[in-house]
Amino acid sequence: MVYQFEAFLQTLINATLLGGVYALLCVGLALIFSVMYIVNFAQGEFMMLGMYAAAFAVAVFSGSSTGVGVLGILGSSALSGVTLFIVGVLIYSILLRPIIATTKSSVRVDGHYVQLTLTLGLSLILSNGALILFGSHPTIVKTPLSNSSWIMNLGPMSIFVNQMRSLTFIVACIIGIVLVSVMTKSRLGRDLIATADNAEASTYMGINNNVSYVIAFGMGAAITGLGGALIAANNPFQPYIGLEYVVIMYTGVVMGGMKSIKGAWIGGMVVAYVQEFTGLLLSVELQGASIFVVFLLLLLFKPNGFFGQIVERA
Amino acid sequence: MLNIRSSLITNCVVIAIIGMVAVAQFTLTNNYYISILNLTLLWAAFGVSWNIFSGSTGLISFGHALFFGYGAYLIVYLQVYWSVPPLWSLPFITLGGALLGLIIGALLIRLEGIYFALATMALPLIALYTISWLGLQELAVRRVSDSSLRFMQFDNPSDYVWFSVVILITVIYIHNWITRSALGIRLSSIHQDSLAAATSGINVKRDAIIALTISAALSATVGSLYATFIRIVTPESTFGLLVSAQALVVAIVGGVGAVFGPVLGALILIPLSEWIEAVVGGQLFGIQGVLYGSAIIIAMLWMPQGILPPTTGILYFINRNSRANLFNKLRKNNKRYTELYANLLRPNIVTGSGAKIGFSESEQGINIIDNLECSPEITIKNVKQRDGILEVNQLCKNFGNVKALQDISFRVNRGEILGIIGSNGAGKTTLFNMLNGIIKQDSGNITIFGIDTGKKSIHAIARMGVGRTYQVARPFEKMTVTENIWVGAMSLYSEGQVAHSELKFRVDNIQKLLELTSVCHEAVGGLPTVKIRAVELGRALVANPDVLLIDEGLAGLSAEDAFEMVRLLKKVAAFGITTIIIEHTMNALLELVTRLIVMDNGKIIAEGVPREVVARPEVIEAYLGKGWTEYASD
Repeated sequence: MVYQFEAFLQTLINATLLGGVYALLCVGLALIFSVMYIVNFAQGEFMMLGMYAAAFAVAVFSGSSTGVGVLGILGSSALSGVTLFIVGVLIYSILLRPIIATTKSSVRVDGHYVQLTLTLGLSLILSNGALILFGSHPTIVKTPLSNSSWIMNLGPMSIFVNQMRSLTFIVACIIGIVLVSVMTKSRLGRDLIATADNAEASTYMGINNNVSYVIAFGMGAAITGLGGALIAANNPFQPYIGLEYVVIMYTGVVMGGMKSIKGAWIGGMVVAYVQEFTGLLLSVELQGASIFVVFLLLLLFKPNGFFGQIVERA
Repeated sequence: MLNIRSSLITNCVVIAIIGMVAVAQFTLTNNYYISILNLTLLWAAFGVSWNIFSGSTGLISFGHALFFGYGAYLIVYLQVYWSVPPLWSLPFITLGGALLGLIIGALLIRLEGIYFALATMALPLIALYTISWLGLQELAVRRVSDSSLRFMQFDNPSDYVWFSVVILITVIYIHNWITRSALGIRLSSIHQDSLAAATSGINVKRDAIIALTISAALSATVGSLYATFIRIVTPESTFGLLVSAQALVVAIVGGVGAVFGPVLGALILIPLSEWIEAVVGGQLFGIQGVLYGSAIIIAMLWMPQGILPPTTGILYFINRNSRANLFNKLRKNNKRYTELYANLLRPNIVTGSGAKIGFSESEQGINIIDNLECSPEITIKNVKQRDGILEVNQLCKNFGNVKALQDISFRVNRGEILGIIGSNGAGKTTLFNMLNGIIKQDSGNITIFGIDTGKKSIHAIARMGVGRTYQVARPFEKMTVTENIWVGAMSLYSEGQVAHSELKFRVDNIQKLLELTSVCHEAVGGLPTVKIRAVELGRALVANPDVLLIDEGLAGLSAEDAFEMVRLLKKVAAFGITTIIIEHTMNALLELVTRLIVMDNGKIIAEGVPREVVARPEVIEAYLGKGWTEYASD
């Protein structure tokens, strides 16, 4: 009994720490969808690029073979966020800007179809391009933090709290809080929300939608990339890893109602809990499949998520 | 004419494919080239299979690898573990693929655009993980020395090619047949505007599921043939995202709207990618993915329709019988001929003697005589006197905290023209959407001929006799006027209620009635608004509606156009079709309607004879504000 309870508590801690970073991944995707109505299949590849960016930053700036410390992790994550922001801005300017007009103007499926297909193409290029550049060997960001844990002794039970995951969780929470306050309190955030709500009306109010779009896409890519950089120390990665995570992201975002950033945050947390707790019962492969099943069930029975509703006027 | 030509094109292209393959078979000696040829044919067939569903319906499947992988894995699995010869298992795998498509369709078709796309993307990945869990990471077929046909193993690689040619041609003819059939037209209308299709009586869900079932069966067959050729399957090579992408990319590059689009796409991309793979694939593992990704992006940005221009299926269908033929047939059978006149619009409403609307026959065909200077007298025969066609009882609907409709009750009698007015946000369009079944009420009920519509789907309500136009017109923009009106009658045709020849006759006459004959072969997207509104009206009328809902038929029209539209509406009204009209333009409404309901803030505030209702103080107050009631009473 004590053993089961210990396993339960351990899983709870792991899931919470993992949930913070899943939430961050989801928030990046939700930001893009809520402002631009773009369903980005390539979001997983943004995460993958963030991981490689962090790995490169660590490889270039740190000579130590044992890996980097807290500052190194923070620095490389920040760098990968900036890199992904630039990547996002470039991708938006070159690929998405020409099609976003058709996407927004059409309530019906055609517009979505163009951008969905386009981002699928982007996803193929990024993942396979990364395969060409980086090879298929799993890589990891080396840090002693990922192997060290604090041990909490609660009576007969000992709970391990991974230091790297804790750092990840704290950073994710800080970014989440900053993002929400930017969205609600700053001029920029209000512009983004206005564009998201009604692009046409916001144009008349003097908001440059293109600026909103480019910032939303850049920020969305940067946040997801940064999330990737943070988990790159605990999870070995290879160029195809985006595909595994993109479904996690979509599950979280759909759960959160697609357009809500707070919803996406909670959705991401929930996904982590589902994944970790099913891990207690199922084998690794089935654990992978379980999140897809949750995703499908969600789409079938609760496509509008738990935090929002989309009503279309006929 | 067109019908013959298009068959000719298909046959010619098919013969050309066979010819090219035959020539290649005799000239290519290098096994590597033959295998590229075979892969090209197989991926082309997969692309066409994908197109049968996604190209026709506009619902983009990002997960056709599910069906492909199912076919590929099952045929190998059966041979390896159960020693079933592939040739025997193939037909069952095809059937199983159809069943899989049916199940997936029944589950997923209800999902809206992006959710459908996401769900389809997730499906093959579930299969991928499950197969890894089952420990079937790699399945390979042993070489069999004898009975090569049964085991579909040949020493000469060119023998495989004939299987691929057969499946490709089968898939092409099936797609070609669908495009020209009634199903093809229904799918085309679903593609352009699924809501408008549903309110025109088309069972959107069922038709999309049929398309997916066919597409899945064919994709599974292609997958099986691929596996027998490659002889080794892994989850990634059959269920992977790249497999789904491959179907998509050959179709998108070649042209989603054309039957031969995917064939052309495969012909360009597959040899190219195999060549690149052979040249640099050793060093640049993943180059194929980059190539396909780039092809998708290039196609989407610069030629979203693909290389081949889209062909529409509906023209073939309309021109199935020539016009002369129809009239000869009609003249031969005089009884049927007269029946057709009677059935023109409403089988049980016949304009009697003294009516100002009628029909005459001349060299040109049928003319509609209308003379609307004086009000038409309509006599209604053969109608069981069921007074209330449509009854609404205590209807309520909330959107969050907004009470859109509160306790709405009214009755619509046969032959009456009911007007509903009210300011913006009064709940008029919500009410219409509810009468159609687009939105379901929170409480209360709607009955048509005494049947509760609460659990009926949109198309079922349309088939019960509710026709509809929209506030913002929703025609099928890429179709011509004639085609649009045909779609309105497709549900009757599919149910066997009207024959093809009769349909043609009806559509012609609707066009005459609404003065659309001169523009009937023009695409609706390019017409002036007043004509688009007339097309929508025609689409609703052609199906013999018992109740016609007209949602702001005059919105967005200039004064002259509005006058035109009122004239058309009067003509329609003269046939005695029960109509409910929502309108802002008070004058137009007063001319048209026999009874008026005034709505405000989701409630009915007045009901009665038009002139009386508009004089009531509460109506003036709702419309103009409190201050005006005193002026008005003077």
